Parts: sequence; C-alpha cells; structure tokens
Amino acid sequence: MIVELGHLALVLAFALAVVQSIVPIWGTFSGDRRLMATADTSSLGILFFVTVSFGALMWSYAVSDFSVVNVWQNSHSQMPFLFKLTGTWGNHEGSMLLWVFILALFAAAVSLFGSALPPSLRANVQAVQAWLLATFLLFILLTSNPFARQPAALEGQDLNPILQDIGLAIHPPMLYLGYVGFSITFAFAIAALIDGKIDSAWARWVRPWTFIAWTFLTAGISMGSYWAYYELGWGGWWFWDPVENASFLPWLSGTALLHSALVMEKRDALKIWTVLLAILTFSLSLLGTFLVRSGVLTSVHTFASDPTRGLFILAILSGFVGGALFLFVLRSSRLEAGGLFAPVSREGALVFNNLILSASAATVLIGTLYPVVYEAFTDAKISVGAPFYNLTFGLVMIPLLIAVPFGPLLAWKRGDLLGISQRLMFALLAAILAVILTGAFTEKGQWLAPLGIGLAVWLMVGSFAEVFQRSGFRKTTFAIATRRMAGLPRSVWATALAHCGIGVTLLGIVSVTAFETETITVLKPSESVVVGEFTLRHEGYASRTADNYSERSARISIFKNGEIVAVGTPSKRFFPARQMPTSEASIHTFGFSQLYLALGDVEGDGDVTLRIWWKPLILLIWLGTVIMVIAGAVSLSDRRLRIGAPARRKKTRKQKSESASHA
Amino acid sequence: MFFWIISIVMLAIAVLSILLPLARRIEQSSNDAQPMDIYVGQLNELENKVASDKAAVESLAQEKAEISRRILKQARTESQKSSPISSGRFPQIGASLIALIGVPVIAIATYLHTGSPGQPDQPLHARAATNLESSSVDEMVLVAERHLAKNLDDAQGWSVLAEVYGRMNRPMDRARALQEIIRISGATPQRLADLGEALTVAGDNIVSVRARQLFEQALKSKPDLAKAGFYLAIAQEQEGKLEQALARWVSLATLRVNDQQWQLMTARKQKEIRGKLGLPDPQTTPNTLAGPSAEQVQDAAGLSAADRAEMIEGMVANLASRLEDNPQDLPGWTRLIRSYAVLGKKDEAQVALKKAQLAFSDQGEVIVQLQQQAVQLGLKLPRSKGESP
Repeated sequence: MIVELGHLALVLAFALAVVQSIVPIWGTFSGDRRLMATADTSSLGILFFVTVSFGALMWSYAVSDFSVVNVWQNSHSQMPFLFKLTGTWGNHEGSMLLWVFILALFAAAVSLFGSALPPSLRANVQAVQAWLLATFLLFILLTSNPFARQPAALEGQDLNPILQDIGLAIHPPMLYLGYVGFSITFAFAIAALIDGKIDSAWARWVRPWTFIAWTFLTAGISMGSYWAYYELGWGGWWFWDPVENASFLPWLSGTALLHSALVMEKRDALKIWTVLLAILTFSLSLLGTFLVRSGVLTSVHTFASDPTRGLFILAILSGFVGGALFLFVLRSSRLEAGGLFAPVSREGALVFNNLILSASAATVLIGTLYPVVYEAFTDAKISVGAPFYNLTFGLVMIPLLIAVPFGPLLAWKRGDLLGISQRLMFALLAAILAVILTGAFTEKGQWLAPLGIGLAVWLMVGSFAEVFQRSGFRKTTFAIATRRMAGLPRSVWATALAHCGIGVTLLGIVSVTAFETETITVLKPSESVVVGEFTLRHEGYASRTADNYSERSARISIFKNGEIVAVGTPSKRFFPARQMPTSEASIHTFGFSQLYLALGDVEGDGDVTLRIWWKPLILLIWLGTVIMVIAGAVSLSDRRLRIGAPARRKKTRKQKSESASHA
Repeated sequence: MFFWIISIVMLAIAVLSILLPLARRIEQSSNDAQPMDIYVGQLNELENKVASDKAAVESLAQEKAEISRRILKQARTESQKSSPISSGRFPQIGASLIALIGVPVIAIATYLHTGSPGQPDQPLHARAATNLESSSVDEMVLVAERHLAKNLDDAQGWSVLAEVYGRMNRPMDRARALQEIIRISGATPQRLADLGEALTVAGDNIVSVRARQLFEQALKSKPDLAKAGFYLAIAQEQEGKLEQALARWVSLATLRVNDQQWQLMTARKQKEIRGKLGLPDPQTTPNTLAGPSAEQVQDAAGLSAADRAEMIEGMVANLASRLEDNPQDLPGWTRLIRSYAVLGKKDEAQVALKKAQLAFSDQGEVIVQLQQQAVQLGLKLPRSKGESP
C-alpha cells in the first residue's frame, strides 16, 4: 500500500503542478490577488506530495520490496542499510525523482521566504516553477516511473558497485541542489520578462537564490571530484569527462551571473545580459541533465539509456530553452539600458570577468558537444581530452585569475588602476617570492610550475587586499584596524574568501600537475619499492567476504625514515550479483599531500601490479572549494542579502505601531 | 479499502491547497513588498556607510543621488497603478472549478493509467516468512548462493550449484561455479571440459577461443576424454577445418563403443562432414537403423530392473530427438511409436504418430503403413489431411 500511495502522491503532485502552471499567472494577468495566492499553498502541497512519494520509494528500498521494478533493478537484500537508502537515487528513475523533489523544495522556498517579493513577480516565478515541475513530473510518470510494479522477485540485481559508497549519499543531492537551484533564477528571469519590468530591485531579489544554488553546486562538483578520485582508482581528480563538464558549465555561467547581478543591483546596468545569463545558466543545467539522462554520453553517471527518454528530455530542453530565448528576444528591446561606466571601473572588471567566464564556458561546451556532433555526422567516435581543455580553458582563464584581486578594489564608475596596483604591491611581492622559491627547487626548464604557484599565491594574498584596505591598517592603529576589520560587511569577507579559495585550489592543481609522481611496479610479497621519501613493503595478501562482495587485498607497509607510518590495503572487490569487479584505492594523507595506492591485477604466482602516486598538496584542490562554499554561506548570512528580510522588518514595525496605538 | 480512504484524504488535501486561498478574503495590503523597499534599504545602508567613513563622502554622494533617482522613478510608476485585489467573481469561480475538477481528473486518470491500485507491498521479510514452507528450487538456489557468497571456498557447495545451474539452463552461472571449483580444488580434465561446455552453451553453442583452449588443455592430460574431444571436433567444424573435424569424429567413434547414442551421433557427424566435403560414404558407416548392439543387450540383461528401464528410456529419448532433427526416417518412427506403446506411454506414442504422419504427409502408402501399425498397437487414428470428417 505504501508503494501505491507514493505513486498516487506523485500523480497528485503532477496534477497540482498543472493547476499551478495556469492559475497564478491568470491571477497576474487579471490582477486577481486570490488567484496569485493559490501558488503559495499549492507549491507547499506539491512539496508535501513529492516528499511522500520520495519517502515511499525510499521505504521500498529500505525493506527491499522487489515487487517494485526499480528496487529490484538497483538493490540487493544483502546490501548495507545505508546503501539501500542511497540506492534510491543511484539510478535513473530515483535520481529524476530526487531532481523533482529538489525542484519542489525550491518552489516551496519561494512561497515560504518570498514575502519580500512583489505579489505579481512572486506569482509569475511560482508559475514558471510549476511549468518545470509539471513537465518533469510528466516525464517521470510517462518514461521513468519509479513505482512500476511486477510480481515480487526473489533477489534484486544489486546497485552498481561503484555507487555503493558514502559519496552517493552526498554528491547527487548537493549537485542537484545546485543544478536545480538555478531554476529559481531562471524562473525569476522569465517572470521578469513576462512582466516586462527589470530593475536593480530584481537583481537584489535574485542574488540570494543564485548564491544558494552556486554554493551547493560548488560543493556538489567538489564532492563528485573527490569521490571519483578515491573510488575510481585512477588517481585523477578531474577527467574532463562530459558529465563533469555538464556540471561545470552551469558553474561557470552561474559564477558569471553572481557577478553581473552585482553590477545590476548596484548600478542598474548589464540588465539584459544578466537576464540572459540567468536563462543560460539553467539551460546549461538542463543540457547537463539531458546529456546524462538521455544516454547520448556514456559514463559512470549513465545508469540506463532509453531513446524515448532522450527524446522527451530533448523536447523539454528545446521547449524551455527555446521558449525562454524567444521571450527574451521579444522583450529585451523594451528593457532600459542602465548606468554608464568607464572601462577601468568595478563594472568594467565585472564585465571582464563575465566575458572570460562566458568564453571559457563556451570552450568547455564545444569540447563536450563536439564528439557528440562529430559522431552523429561521421559515425566515428572521438574524445576530446585534457590537452584540449588545458590549451583553451586554461589559457583563457589566466588573464581572469590575474585580474581577480583588482576587481574588489576598483571603485564603481571610474577606477584608479595605478592606486590599486600600489595597494596590491605586497601581493605581487609574495607572488614573486613564491616564484623564486619554487623555481629554486624545480628542475631547469620547468618554468610553468613556479609561475603557476606564483599566480596562486598572488590570488590568495591579493584577495584580502580589500579587507586590508577597508580596515585601514596603514592609516590607523592596529587595534582600531582590527576592530574595523571585524565590523566589515560580510559580503567583503565573502568576496575575499571566495577569491582566496580559487587561489588555494589553483595551488593544489599546479602542484599536483607539476610535481606528482607515478610509480607502476610489480611487487611480490616481502619485496619493497622506494617512492620518493617512502619505502613500501608488500606484506602479503588477505581475503575477506562481505555480505554482497568478496575482497582480495594486499597489505602494504609504508615506511618513512625507517619508521612505519601507515599500512595500506589496496584491494579488488568482486560483486557477484553484477559480476563486476571494483578497485579500492588505499589513500594516506600526509599534511595536504597524499600517497595513493591502487591494485592492478593479481597475477597467478602472487605478483601484483601496484600503482603508487605521490600527490603533493592535492587536498588543497578541495580545501579551496570548501573555502568557496564557506564564502557562499558567509555571503548568504549577510543581513542585506537575507531573503525576505526587508519585508519582515517592515511588517514587524507595522505590527508594533499597531499594538502601540491599541495600548 | 484503507488504501482508498487514504487516497481520498490525499486528494482532498491537494484540492484544498488550491481552494483555501481562493476562499480567503484578501485585504489590500499596504505591506506588499515593492521595489521601493529595496531602494530605501540601499539608501539607509549608504547613509550608515557615510556616517562611518567620512573620507568617502564625496564618492558616496554620487551613488546616493543615483539611488534617489531610482526612488523617484519607482514612486512615479507606483502612483500610476494600484493593483486591484480581485477582478470580479469569474477568475475565482474558474480557478475553483479547475481545482475541484482538474485535480481529481488528472490525478485519477494518470494513476489508473500508470499505477497498480491494490497491489500490496512485498517487503523482503514478509516474503521470506510466507514462502519458507513451499520453497521452490529458485529459492533453494538463492539460499545456496547466499551461503556460498560467504563461504567462497566450499567446493562441495559449488559443485552442487554447478549441477543445478546446468539443469536450470543457466550456463553462465554454471561456468562461474565451475571456475570456483577449479580455483578451490584445482583443474582436472573433466572440470576443464565441463567449464568449456558451460561457456559454449552460454555462447549459443559457438565454441569460443577460451573454451577451445580449455578443451585442448583437458585433452592434453586425458586424450580419451570424450566430452572434450566432442566439443573440439565441433570447434574445428565451426572454424571450417573440416578434415581435422572428420578425423576427430572418426577417432571419437572408437571411444564409448558400447554407447549406442554416441555411436549414432559420431556416425551422423561423420556423414554430415563427408557430405560437406563431397566425400562418399564409406562402407563402414554403422547402420543407423540398427537396434541395440549385442553387447548392449547383454549389458541390459545384467542390469537391475530400474537401471534397465533407465537405459531403455535413454535410448528412446535419444531416438526421439534424432527424429526431430531428421524426420524422414520411417523405420525410426515405427520403432519409436512401438517403444512408446510398449512402455505404456500412450500419449507420447500418439504424438509421435502424428509427427510421423506429418513428416510423410505426401506419401499415401507410408501413412497407411503407419496407421496399420497404430491399430495393431491400439492407438487412436488421428485425422490426416484430405480425409472427410
């Protein structure tokens, strides 16, 4: 009964979404406030039903109800309980339901926290959200129903072993919160275009939602990268895999959107461009969903491909993107142009940021789609790999990274580049010092690595120039300056942290790329191998059987300066239900660096191919993203950006005055 | 029933979530959020900044002027239009109808199309409780699989499972079980040949390179292993090495001289390949119509009743399958029908008779001959084509 109630709840959510697609927007056109207000309650209703539905599916996973086709295909009664639960979204149908659940979550958030929005804008936003909800619910019900039933099977077919990991519990929900979060900015853009009214207040309303989406997307991508790093056993942290690109694209354009919305809020400029970015960012999210879910691209993420699904998603994609762009063309000519500014100004710097981010997004997009298009026309498969991206994306990004510390220091309208350069002198000195120091320790001819590290240091130090300057360390006493520093608006801190995070990530990337060592060796038991300052000794094999897999591992003792510092157990697992082997790497952290051991095939006579990587400062890559996520959170906690804050203040004031008059 | 009650409650919640705001009276709220709030907020913030940072007054003045302009403009547009609360009864009634009719219709129609109303949940523990007494073969296999997943080195268990998989026609699983046995107890020629066989069956009876190597390996240590030789001959034939295959069949015929099935089969294969090669049949071709050989009869006499019955059954089954492949064999059919009749398998005899008639439907005398035999054996005569009812 629970399964069927979950199914019914999904259907009811769909019905409500259809109604919410029509009634509120009818309200805004006829000026009827009651009709607009329906969206507030019906979006909560949709969230309620989608939650019930998602809960029901999760329950059937938890109890291994193999009369549900989806559970039977993707679960196994002997799996650990946590993986039974996370298996709910470790497959196409379930992950689409998660997608819609998060969409419903954001739509309801607009109802709950949108009291600061003018009623007609809110109703239109909610209607656009409902269009998305209705479409994706229909997609689920027609092509990917997770509640399809069958006569109960005895045993499930097991979850893809690669997904049997704690990463599945975190990565998809985070990523979807990011992806789908941009649906709100999209809805805002469409609602504004329908209204034909876009001003700096609009940007002010959109920014917190953009921050939420961006923060989650950053966390999701970073988490996915770390997961791939430790689970796939290839030792890489970013593969320029089409699906990774699909999540990276909205991140790039979302980052651009964050910056252009700032210009729009402060200066009423770049309005058309910001609206376009809002549309494009979510379109890229949809494109990502299409590429992954349609089976056009095959990767770890493609659970199952089905041409009808692909066609349906393509229709959704072209419908929403095409419709939005059409509306944009119709209405954008009506938008008034905003304030003027000189090329060297805060606005100018943000435009520069936008240009580069868009250009880099375009190169990634081309790299991702080119193989697909090429295959469609020539029937030959090609893949676009790291060299392409390093050359295009990498080169395009460098000027932006150099420019980052300048941006926050520039004044609006007209900036003073020379004055700012003086303020950044200490960052430049730090960078030069870093270049010289690294240069001294690297071999001759490797000039890229010191420069890269110099750039990273420039970013990390330079990001705090604004904090330093606004606290006035040069002008006043240290005590006053520290007090001022603590009192700075959180947005200043957020900017500094986010930019610094990029520097930290860059430092990790450069150092791993330049100084990583890889050793591939065949090691017999009791043999040793020397890797850098470590000595690794093979101590023998161990076998173990868990509920749904068997494992063979090698015991590797790791010595440093003659002392044992760690024991590694890289292993191979075999999952009989899917007849699939996986490789479990053994990773050991030393400071920010890691030693990464992965097992190759065990030969018949006890030899084993062992791949050993030394990855200097690799953790900085993810630490940088963690700093960026913290920056996003700090920014959201800024009073000025808090969603709905002005209206609530006003209301409470009014209530107070009322109660005062009563007394 | 309970399901439908909850369904109706859920439906009611859905409809009410739209109806309630429609029924509510909405006051003209002066505290509606407006862009003005934002601008005023910006202005306040700027004033705070000015208060704290005297040095920046000049640059902030410009910004202040800009925000003030926005406020003025916004005030103008707000004074021009004040949105009404409602525009009459029609939208309210229309929206209510959409909620009252649209939601149930969409939901029920979609659910009846995609759902399985009334199908109960079947969580694992509930199923395990109900099915224990009447465990099917499938379930017993499942129990064995779970046992072996935890006791990978139980060779005995694997060999039972391999046997069962073979009967259940799950060749891939059989191959897996055999691999485990070989891993645990080492490779014997018989195990290698079994594994090769399982892989071949799994591959639609095409002998793969891997399977072929297994058979060759088995033959190396036990050259007279019939199963390995058999599949190797098939492999050679599939690879187009007909002469080699023929030679192998000839040598295979010298094995298992007492096994009539085997002899018939090797002879038939030799004939087939000779046909493909365009070679004449040698005189030595065993008579395919021959009954059991003298030795076989002797053997049969020495067997227990049960064993004898089994042997006879085997021979009959073999004959039947051979006739399926090659139905133009009248003496064969005659013998098969008689055997069935003698063994008391009237139904099978009847079926065989029908098949025989089908095979010779274009030869009247043969049909008559068959019918005469049938009458003698007390079988019913099936209607053949052209006969009026």
